[in-house]
Amino acid sequence: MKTDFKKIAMDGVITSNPTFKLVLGTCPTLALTTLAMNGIGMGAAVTFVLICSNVFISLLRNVIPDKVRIPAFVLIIATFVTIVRLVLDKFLPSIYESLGLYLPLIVVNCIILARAESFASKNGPLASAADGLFMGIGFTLALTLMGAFREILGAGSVFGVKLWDFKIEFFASSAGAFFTFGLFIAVFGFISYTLHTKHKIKAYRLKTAETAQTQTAEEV
Amino acid sequence: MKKNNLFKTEAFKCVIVLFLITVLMCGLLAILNDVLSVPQEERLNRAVMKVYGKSVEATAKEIDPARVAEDLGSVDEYYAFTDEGFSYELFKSTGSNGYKNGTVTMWILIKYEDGEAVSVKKAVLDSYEKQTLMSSFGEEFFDRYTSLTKDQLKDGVLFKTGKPNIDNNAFFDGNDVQHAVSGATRSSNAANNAVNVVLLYVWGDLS
Repeated sequence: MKTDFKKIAMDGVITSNPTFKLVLGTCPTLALTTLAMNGIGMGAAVTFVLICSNVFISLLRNVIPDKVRIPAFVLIIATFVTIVRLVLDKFLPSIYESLGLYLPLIVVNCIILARAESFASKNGPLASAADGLFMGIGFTLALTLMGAFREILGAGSVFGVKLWDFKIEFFASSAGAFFTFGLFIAVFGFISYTLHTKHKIKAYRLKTAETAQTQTAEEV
Repeated sequence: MKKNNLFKTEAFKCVIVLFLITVLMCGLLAILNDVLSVPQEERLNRAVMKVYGKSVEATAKEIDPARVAEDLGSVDEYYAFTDEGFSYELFKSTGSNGYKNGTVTMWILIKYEDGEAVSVKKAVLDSYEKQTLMSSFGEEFFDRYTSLTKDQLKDGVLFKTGKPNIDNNAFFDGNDVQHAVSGATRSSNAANNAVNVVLLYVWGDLS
């Protein structure tokens, strides 16, 4: 079966965006989006784990018995999370410190286990790698957008660059995280609904035009 | 069950597959841990940079267990270095008796003049256990440890711990205390103890 990479990409970033559409990985989303840089760091770490664990699980999908698939998946995911921790601690200690406890908690991130269970265990390694990549990009974009929004309003800066002295501290607080998350889900839902509706109308018009053409041709 | 049948059961296959995956993952991690682990010198350098603000060559010193006030916490690491004519001692200490008996680990830098400890130059948070509110304590909280004068320190200072007094937000239940660092929660008890254990180590019994 031919892999539809365009669909995988659209699913990961927009149609099934893990943060705004599937509402997965909410814990790091709420806790780490005080800064845009945290979003990029966490997103990159999750993307790496998603790609590697998806590929590994996909390769072993015919070997792992169904009854022990969850512990096997968790074992594989935990290994790659440990590798991410080692890499960040060695090369990017500041990001390692700022992500803190949320880095080992990637092991229990619903996005990774959900993709392993619903995609990687049923598809080939290439498609699984693509799924991991685009789901990771979707997650990174979501966290970075939320982080930038909260950093601009809550700290008056973006990516650590000071913009102005004005700040609304509510957006840097936990309550602000929930508010921002809800706001982004609503905006994202509206945009994706509008795009979906436009796409459906376009497809309907095309189909109607085709039917009309066929009828005209038959009449002639 | 016959021996041959055991090897054909699904349970046996599950155990073997999980075992093999575990071995594979352990092997991978063992190799990568060797390649990616951060050496102790590098960790020390990072700690010195974090606490002192610039890179200097520090030497590890042996911890004397007899000087550690174990009821307050522990001294985990102990280093010394000299810079611009002054001597410094750097401690990594863990203070106990925090919220839900949790701990707070801090880096404490002690400055020496003429061979005598004169001030807490810097106190930096390293990690904490069960003290969720510690993350909301800003730099000003830790800077208060460095605000005491040489005479106050020589008098023998322990930072007060105990239940917070609502009236003036200071701590009143401590013993052997002359000065207090106030705090709003029990979490600051553990932070105070992390500093106290170092002060006791440096100046000895203050009672």
